[in-house]
Amino acid sequence: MTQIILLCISAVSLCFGFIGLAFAKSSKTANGDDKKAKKRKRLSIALTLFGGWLLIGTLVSMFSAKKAGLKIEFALFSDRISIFGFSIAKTVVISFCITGTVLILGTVFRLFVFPKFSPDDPKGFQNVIEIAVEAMENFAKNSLLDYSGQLAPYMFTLAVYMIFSAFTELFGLRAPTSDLTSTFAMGLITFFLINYYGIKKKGVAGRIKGMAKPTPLVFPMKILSDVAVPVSLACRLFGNMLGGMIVMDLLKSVLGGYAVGIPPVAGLYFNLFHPAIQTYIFIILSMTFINEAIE
Amino acid sequence: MNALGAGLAMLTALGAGFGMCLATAKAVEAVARQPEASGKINSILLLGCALAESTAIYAFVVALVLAVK
Amino acid sequence: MDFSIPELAVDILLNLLNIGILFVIVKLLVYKPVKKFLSDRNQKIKNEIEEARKLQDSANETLSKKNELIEEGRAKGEAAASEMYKKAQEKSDAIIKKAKSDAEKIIAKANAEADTRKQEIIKSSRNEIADLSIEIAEKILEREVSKEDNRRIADEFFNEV
Repeated sequence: MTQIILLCISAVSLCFGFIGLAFAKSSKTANGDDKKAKKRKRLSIALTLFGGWLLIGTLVSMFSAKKAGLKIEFALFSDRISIFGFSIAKTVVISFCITGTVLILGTVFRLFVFPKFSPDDPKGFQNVIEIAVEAMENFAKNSLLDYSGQLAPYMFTLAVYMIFSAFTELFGLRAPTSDLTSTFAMGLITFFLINYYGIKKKGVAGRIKGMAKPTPLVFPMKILSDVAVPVSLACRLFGNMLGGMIVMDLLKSVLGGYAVGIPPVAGLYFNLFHPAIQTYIFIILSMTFINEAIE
Repeated sequence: MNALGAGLAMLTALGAGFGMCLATAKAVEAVARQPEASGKINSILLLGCALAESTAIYAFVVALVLAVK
Repeated sequence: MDFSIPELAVDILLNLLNIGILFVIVKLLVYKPVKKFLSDRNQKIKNEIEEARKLQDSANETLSKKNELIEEGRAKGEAAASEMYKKAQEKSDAIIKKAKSDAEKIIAKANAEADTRKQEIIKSSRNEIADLSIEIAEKILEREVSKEDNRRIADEFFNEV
């Protein structure tokens, strides 16, 4: 019963919206009250959108078993599947799929796109990738000093990995970055890099001396904070990504059949902007920690 | 009981939000005083916000661990 | 929440491996070519700037040379013009001198002619006057007076005059 009422409402609002749009189109030549006409046009567009959304949502919820309601099911660690007898997390498989995709894309770029790049006037995709690489170079040069040549590609790889894993969420899969094992692996690499470059720059004795800098009393604390670095990096990324995923899941489950048009708009923030910011922060923090170690 | 603990853990977000608000207020003041340094201030603010946010994120993780059985 | 630590450790190791592979792929296939491309372009731009600077330098040199040439030409032209002016002056001076001397000659000639004319006229008029005076005297005195006497008297008179 309620569905029929909703259908009627949506039909009425659609009709009004279309009539308003047609009226706005026909009265375009006679531009009398400019402000009023604009207002009417905006109102009719909103009415049309609302009517369409309500119509599709009602139809979908009528014919699908999906019910709107607050119920989310998620696990802290991802589901496992068994491949050749080994039990492997799904996110690991997804991240290997990302690597494969990057391999294919990279080969295609290397073989077919890069030779076509014009050396004088970059445009389109060339501009994007050039700006990305150049920005990474500049970032690395500022904080990694002498080692920017070795570390900038790694940071670039991290950015590629995180952005691709943010894209996997758009396909309805669980992003690798929203699994603690993946982020912890990245944190471990950062921890290794911090110590490797710190020791390479100052030697083992210099690194230990640098830890006990103001007074030897702070030595345990410094050790603790150093150990906390990978944990904090991993937990930060994991928490943010999982938070975004849960919010999106909540939105979808609350809307049920009406999840048309609204989740993509919210996804612009939670699935694209938020991961990009987190990528930036992860890379910047890694660079800052390494910079601290080598300075 | 677990759900209660998770909710209590998320109270940490209060502190993180307050810290971020302080940092942002100071950054806005700094930009108003010196608009030409806005790029640097922006990056520092982002870093500081990430660090301030991390407490809330830890709390979130703890809450998840408590909530998911 | 069911998980076992060894499984998670395997996951972490696999992730590490994955990131390593991804690093190699990205570095070899994307990052290095683009970086090389960028550095090539930087080099090219540098070279072009250098070339442009060189070109500008040479252009400046030629410009200064041209300016020098122009200065030289102007100086030469000025000298030539002044020489010509001098020559013309001399010529005109000579012409004027010649004309002056010519005019003087003509004047002198004319003067001389005029003098001779005058002399002639004076002579002829003297003779006529003498004749007339003799006639007048003959008529007045109605006597014959020898022509020689009269002439003498007239000559004396004229000489007095």
